[in-house]
Amino acid sequence: MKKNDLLRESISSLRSNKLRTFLTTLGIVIGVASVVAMLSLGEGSKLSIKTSIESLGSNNLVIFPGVIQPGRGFVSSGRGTAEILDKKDVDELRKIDDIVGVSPEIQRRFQVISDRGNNQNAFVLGIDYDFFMVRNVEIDRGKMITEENVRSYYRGAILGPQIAKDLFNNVDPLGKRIRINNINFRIIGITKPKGSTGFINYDDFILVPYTVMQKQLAGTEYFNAIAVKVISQDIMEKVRQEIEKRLMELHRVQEPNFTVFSQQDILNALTSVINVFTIFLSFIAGISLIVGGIGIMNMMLTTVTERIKEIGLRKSLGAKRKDILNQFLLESIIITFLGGIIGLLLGISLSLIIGNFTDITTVITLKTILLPLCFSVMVGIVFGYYPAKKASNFSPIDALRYE
Amino acid sequence: MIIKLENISKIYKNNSSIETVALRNINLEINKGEFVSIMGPSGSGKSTLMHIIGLLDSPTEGRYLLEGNDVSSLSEDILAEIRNRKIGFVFQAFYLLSRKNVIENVILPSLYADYSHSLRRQKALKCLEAVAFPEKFIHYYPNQLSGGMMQRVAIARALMNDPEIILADEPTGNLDTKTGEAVIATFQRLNKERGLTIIIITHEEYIAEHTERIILLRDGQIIAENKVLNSRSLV
Ligand SMILES: Nc1ncnc2c1ncn2[C@@H]1O[C@H](COP(=O)(O)OP(=O)(O)O)[C@@H](O)[C@H]1O
Ligand SMILES: [Mg+2]
Repeated sequence: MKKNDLLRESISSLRSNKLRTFLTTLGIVIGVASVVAMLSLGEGSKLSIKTSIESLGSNNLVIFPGVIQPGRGFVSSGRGTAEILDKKDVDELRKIDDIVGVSPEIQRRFQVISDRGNNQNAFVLGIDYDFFMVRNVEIDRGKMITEENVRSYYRGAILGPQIAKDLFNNVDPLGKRIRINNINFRIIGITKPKGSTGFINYDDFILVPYTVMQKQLAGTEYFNAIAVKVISQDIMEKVRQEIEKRLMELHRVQEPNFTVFSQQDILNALTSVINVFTIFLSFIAGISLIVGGIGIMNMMLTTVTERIKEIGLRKSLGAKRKDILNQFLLESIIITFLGGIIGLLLGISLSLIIGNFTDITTVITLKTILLPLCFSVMVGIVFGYYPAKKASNFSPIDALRYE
Repeated sequence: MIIKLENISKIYKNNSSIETVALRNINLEINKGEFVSIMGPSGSGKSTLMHIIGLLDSPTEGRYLLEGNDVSSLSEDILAEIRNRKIGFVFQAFYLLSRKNVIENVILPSLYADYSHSLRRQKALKCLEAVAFPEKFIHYYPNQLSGGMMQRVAIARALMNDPEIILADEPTGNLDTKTGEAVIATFQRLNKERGLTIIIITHEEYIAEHTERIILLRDGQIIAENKVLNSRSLV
């Protein structure tokens, strides 16, 4: 049987029962649309994590005190985990040629009061002069914290745009005073908005020289983390090994008592979490597609029984098993393909609406389009096969004599 | 000789293994171009015989030679192909597809043969002309037609692939006498003009009288074969 004849026969029988075809197709439409929406949500969150991590600097390495043991998270070795990284580590890291910037950081939360009386519990980050270059943070107005500020324990603070707004409402905070943990600081700069970067939102941060943080606020000489910027992304692995070797020597340990993370590590970890999440959600959505498939099987079985005389007639006129099989199989494939296309359009519209009217990022890729479409046609083949096989197996006389 | 049945038997077994002998030791020869009728009471095996001759069913025992070739043990798909090319069926209940119009119904057998698209339509129109189907109705749907008209469409469909043999199972059973005669006249004409071999099953004496030979079945056996000496020509 010619392919276009086959197609015409299948379409003509689908059209002869429009309501039934419509309802069955609807099942597939809903299934495909929800899979598309879920996949585009998943791709969207991967993208937003990726961009936010890249905005932190894609050739950064971050050294944390303590080690990660599989399944147990951060584990301290010997002394308190926090008391491992100090100024000596910073000086050692500055000696490595391929490192262009070293940013030691201490983070605490403190009560902060502005001279207008606004009170906030805010993140305060003690930083060195390299911070801005390493972490890609830019100053909107005012000045950066300089090497001189750090050395002289200068009590100057730089506000993120969000915390500035929280503390000073719409008044310009530049040159004003704030009290952090009852110590006076002068505001010397405001950073440019950077937005949330997944876990850190610098817009909410108050930046102060780390020396001031160590001596007057936190009372410690240790850092929470040291971020370094590597000269090029190709040599990240080499630099990571160099860092591990040098710091182990410095700490006089055989196994590292610190962990070196690259942005890529963090990206990979988060991406795999999102992947699992996306697969889970798509699986749930996929179930509705399977239910749609059961609808197709149900419809096709009814159709086969109703059209048993037609099958007998076609066979007596010379239709082979394969012709009947193909005709009925094609009917369910047409339904799933059509339902797939409509569901795709619906799913894309849905994800565009979500993307445009909420903060959630959605991304349509070739994968989010082809995967549900292929899956839905596969559902058509799998669930349409049994009824079609049943149809093709009727002997012509049994079918003709059927009452 | 176009059809030769040698000791054909057909036994149906139902699921409680009770056997029904539908045909018993049938020996029958039909020549090319013959116009034959098969008569007999209900349940005597007429339809079963037609199904075997038409390759819709295979005999339990015996040999069937179609144009000299043994077709008793061919595969289902090959049988379908032979049916498609050589045999045209006409049924008592017409069996037209209600969602197709007249011309589409006539075209149906050609979908399973190699036909070019444009040739098909021309051919279908010719077949409808051959059965004197009025041209103005060719886009009607079966439920808009009378029984006689529907049977004409069914005969045109049987002619579509230029078969050698036409098998008709009580083609006039659902028609009144006058319309029935007109259908028989059509068969006669096709037999005379095209030399088609035609076998019709009928209950009715007056239908059988128009054929050249009457085969009488009872309880699955041929009990008589009569040449019709002066068959009434309607043409
Ligand atoms: N599929 C079948 N299974 C069992 N018995 C059948 C089947 N088809 C026909 N028969 C039996 O075979 C006999 C002949 O039937 P049939 O050829 O239809 O007779 P007719 O056409 O002369 O009325 C009947 O007794 C009928 O009940
Ligand atoms: Mg019968």
